[in-house]
Amino acid sequence: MKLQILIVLLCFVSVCFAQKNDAGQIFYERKTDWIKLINKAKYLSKEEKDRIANTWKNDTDQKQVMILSFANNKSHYTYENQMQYSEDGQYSWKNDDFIINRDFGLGTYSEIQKVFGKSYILEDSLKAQNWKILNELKEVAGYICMRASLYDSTKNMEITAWFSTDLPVSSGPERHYGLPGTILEINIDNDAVSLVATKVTLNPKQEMPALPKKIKGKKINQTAYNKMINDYITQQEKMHEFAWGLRY
Amino acid sequence: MKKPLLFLALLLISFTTFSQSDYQIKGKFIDTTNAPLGFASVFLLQPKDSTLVTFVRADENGAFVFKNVKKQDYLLKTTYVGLLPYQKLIKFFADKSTQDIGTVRLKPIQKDLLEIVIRTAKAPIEIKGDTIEYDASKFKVPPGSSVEDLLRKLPGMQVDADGNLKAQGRKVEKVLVDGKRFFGDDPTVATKSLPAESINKVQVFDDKSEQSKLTGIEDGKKEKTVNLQLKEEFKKGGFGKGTVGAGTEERVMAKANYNKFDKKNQFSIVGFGNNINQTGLSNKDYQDFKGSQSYNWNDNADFGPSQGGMRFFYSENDDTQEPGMNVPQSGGTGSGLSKNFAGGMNYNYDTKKTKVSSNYFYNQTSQNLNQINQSQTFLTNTSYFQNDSSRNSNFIENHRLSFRVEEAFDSLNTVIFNINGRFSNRNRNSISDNNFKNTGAETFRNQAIQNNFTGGSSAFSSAVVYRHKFKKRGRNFALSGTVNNNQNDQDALQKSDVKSFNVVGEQFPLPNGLFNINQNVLALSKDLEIKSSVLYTEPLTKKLTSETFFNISQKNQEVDRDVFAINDNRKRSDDLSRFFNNTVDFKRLGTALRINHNNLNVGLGVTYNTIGINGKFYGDQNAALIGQVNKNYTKLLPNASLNAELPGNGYLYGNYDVGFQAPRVKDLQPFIDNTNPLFVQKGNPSLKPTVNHGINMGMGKFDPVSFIQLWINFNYNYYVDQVIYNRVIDKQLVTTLSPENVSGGQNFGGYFNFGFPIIKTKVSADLGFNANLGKNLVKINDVLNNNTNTNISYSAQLDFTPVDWFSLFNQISFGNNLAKYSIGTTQNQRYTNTRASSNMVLQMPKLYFITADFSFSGYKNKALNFNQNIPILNVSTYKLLGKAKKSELRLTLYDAFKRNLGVNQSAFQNVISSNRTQTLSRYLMLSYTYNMRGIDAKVKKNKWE
Repeated sequence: MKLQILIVLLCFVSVCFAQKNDAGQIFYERKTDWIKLINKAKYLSKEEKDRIANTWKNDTDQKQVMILSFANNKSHYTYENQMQYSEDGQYSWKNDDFIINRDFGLGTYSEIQKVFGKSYILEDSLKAQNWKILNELKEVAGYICMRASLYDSTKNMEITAWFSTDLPVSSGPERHYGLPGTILEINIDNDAVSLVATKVTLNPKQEMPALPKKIKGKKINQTAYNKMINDYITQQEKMHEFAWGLRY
Repeated sequence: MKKPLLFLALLLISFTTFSQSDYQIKGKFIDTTNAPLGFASVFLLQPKDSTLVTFVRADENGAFVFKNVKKQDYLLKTTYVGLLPYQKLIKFFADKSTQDIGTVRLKPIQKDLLEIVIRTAKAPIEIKGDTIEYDASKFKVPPGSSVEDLLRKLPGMQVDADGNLKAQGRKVEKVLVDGKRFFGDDPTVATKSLPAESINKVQVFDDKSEQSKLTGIEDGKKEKTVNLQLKEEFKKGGFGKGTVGAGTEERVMAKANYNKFDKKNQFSIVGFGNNINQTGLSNKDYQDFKGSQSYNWNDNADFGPSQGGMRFFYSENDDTQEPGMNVPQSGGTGSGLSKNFAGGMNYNYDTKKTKVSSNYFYNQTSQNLNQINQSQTFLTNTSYFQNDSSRNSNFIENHRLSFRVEEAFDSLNTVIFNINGRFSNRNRNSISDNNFKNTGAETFRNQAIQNNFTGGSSAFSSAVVYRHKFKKRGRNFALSGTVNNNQNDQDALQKSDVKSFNVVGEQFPLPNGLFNINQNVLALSKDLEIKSSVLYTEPLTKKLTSETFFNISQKNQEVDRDVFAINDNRKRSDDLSRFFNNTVDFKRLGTALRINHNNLNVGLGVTYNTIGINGKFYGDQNAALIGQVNKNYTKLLPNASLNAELPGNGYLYGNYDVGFQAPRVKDLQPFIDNTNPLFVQKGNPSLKPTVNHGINMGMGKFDPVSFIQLWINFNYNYYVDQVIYNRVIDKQLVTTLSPENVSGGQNFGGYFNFGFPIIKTKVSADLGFNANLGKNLVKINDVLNNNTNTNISYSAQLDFTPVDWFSLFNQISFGNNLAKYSIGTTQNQRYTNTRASSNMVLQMPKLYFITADFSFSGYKNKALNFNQNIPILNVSTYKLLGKAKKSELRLTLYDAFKRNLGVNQSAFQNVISSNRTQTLSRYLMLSYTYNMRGIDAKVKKNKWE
């Protein structure tokens, strides 16, 4: 491997370096299977879940293409195309804003999200996540990945991530990050939601997409955001309704 | 030039749980050729659960160091492309401030594992030290395969003809099942006898030899071992439930269904029998029966403006009331008293490419219906009353068959074929006694009617739809063909005796006997409809798409109707018998443009329609032509639609459509139909088609967090050349109907609904307002009368869902109807409908439940002196039994006050009427349900649960 190297030693850290794998774009195909999602609902009986699964089994998937751009120790994540088209291409609608910026240099992130019809700007520091790293290997988009897992207590989800140490940026799709490499695949609750990298393009000159000029929205931190999500899920569960208003 | 970049430095600060410690862990990684593993990722995990603590990158020489990490045990791990992951437990010793693992050599991953398993098969493998684990579900084998077939698929495994195994080139000595030996030493026993589907994971590892296990002395020999890990729950795809019940008043019911399914196949049977008015499947049972084929959105073969608007069909709107082609579903209980039986079976086969579905369903209903009808009919200067009572017994049985295939040849081409058939037999006997009274309440006439009808009918409908998607998104082509075929054979006996009485007050004398009927009608009708449609859509720009479609159809109908006079030696009555043959040709060419921009969707379109009606009427098959209809209508019709999403969870919609309806052949016929001498129908060959301008618009807003919702809708229709029937009523009360075109009829409707929580998730309310204003043009005795109907209702709802064991839903509505006439204002009238309902669920300890449904309906009409209040209370109590809660015992008291009655009020044209139907009333029933999947009784949180 031909590398151009710069080693920076800082007081608490051993080695830092630069190589050509640290800038580029990753395209993810995001699929959600609403039948598997609703399967988690506590208020539905086994019979009702089976009925939903049997009745709608041909009509479950929803697909989206998402892009993670990374360079200069930062990453930016959003839709490939915010407009979503129906399968026959005859209808289109605009997806709710969903932009995630992370700055690993400063250890911060900022997200622009439309949740429940309202715009929020979520800003906070990147916190360590309780990833467990397991001994499984597989290939995703040409990279050998290791498996890690995490339990998300806010949304009650079992998250499986496949990350590659060949891509050194500690980022990932959606709200997932914090592994010793880039996450190329995410699998939530047994394929209820999956994000699989379909293409990785490395480009040392990768530029970060510009943020929208006017950002309107309520500023919020992670704790307040989690509370809002949690309250909504609890409320929906009480009314025997599924928390469809969330992005999983 | 590559820009040097900073990495990990600050990142690690934020990730490291760091304390002022001077403990460090270091080492160096090389590969088997002694080359350093530069920039390898090294991580420290918690030994107990592998939680990530921190990570670093090695330098270009493969050396790494974790500085100032917390003093504790760690699991150190590293990965490197092409090499086996390495892990080592680093114990913390208080006397060592530095743990140096020295230079570690990483072993390469066997080439076939990396290339074949990971890259080619795209299957994850798990490497735990020497063990390699395959995920069996990622390797596809046909159903019914043995483990041997599965192992053959695994890269790095070889199976010879005798079933002997080799793993990574070495003979497999042992096959374990869940870590245990499986029937002796022969490794092939397990692999040949176990089904592949039962396996979750296959693990391959080097085990110590039996010798060394026994002696405890390491002899260095390793035996290749395969361990088969079984699935925790081997999926049993079958469920079913059954209910039987018996009650007072000889009420009985039974129903059962059973389903068997796996990933691709679903087989289900259902059956029921009862005398409690349940005529069809409940919505849930319907879904269990038809499974993935319950709803098919793509079966519509009539392509048209996709923003809604008029459908492409021509309807003669016969009065035969033939049942539909679909498996019957029923919600509430039917009217009258009925005995019902039904049964059916369904099979679905589903894969991504091919979907096949077929079913058979039989049902029969015997119904007894006793009705009392009160009405007032307004004439130019006077009116008369009618009191009718009728007894009907109806029987119908249907056999339904359906078959459907959907094949997706590839991602761009799909074909759907379906065929549905129905055979029905029916039987209707009715006796009615009608008394005519003048305004002085004197009976001046009595009519006794007796009708017996038997009929058989069959219907077939089949369609094929081909859809092609071009590579360019939004460019689509579709072609369809449909054939519908109906046959109807009926034999009816019609008897009517009219008697006149002399009265003091107003009289409408009718010569006795002259208007009596006693005839036998034999009628055979056949119709055949052939349709074809083609559609092409093209994206013009990113935001603009166009669609163009063409529909063509031809419907041919042949009716042979022979009427025999029973009193006259069954002589064929040539005046009343008819043979006719109609052909209706319909063509429509349409185009539309649609703009999609952000959350705004606007469509504009126009269709060009032609309808050709050709009818020939004869006295009999071989008799001379007695009349002919030959009409051609053409019309250009616009349509427009708008849909927009509003900020803050709102949306807005609106559309404008112009509809076009050709006159019915029956109304165009150039002669008088006096089958019923008291009710004569004339045709009008100069009728024009009805054009209807419709506007529908509204908005909705729902906040998912606050639960506040608002729905508003307005709709308006205006009719040009509406076909109305001029009713000419002579002195004898003989009514002659003749169709005419009139413009100016209109209808305005709107509703408003506002829902909000009073205490979130515990108490919520909903207020509604509904209005309907109609201007109907009525022609009585050649005089045009404007009838305006105003219908306003208010409603309120209050739902209590305070705790998990109790909920109560209440609803009340008041409806006020006012009918006004421009001429003959004496018939202006007001009638009201009041409804209230309450629904309660209470869960008590030990899975004991009580539900109560109360409803009240009040009907009032001063003009008819009609006042009817119907309170109905149904109470049900049930208990779940058994550990697995698979059984339920239920006691139901239906209609506790014994007040159930079907009531209907209307004001139409020059007639106002109120109708009461005797209906299933109080009974007590004990029922038992067994559900294989268990019963999950719960207190519902919303009305629809």
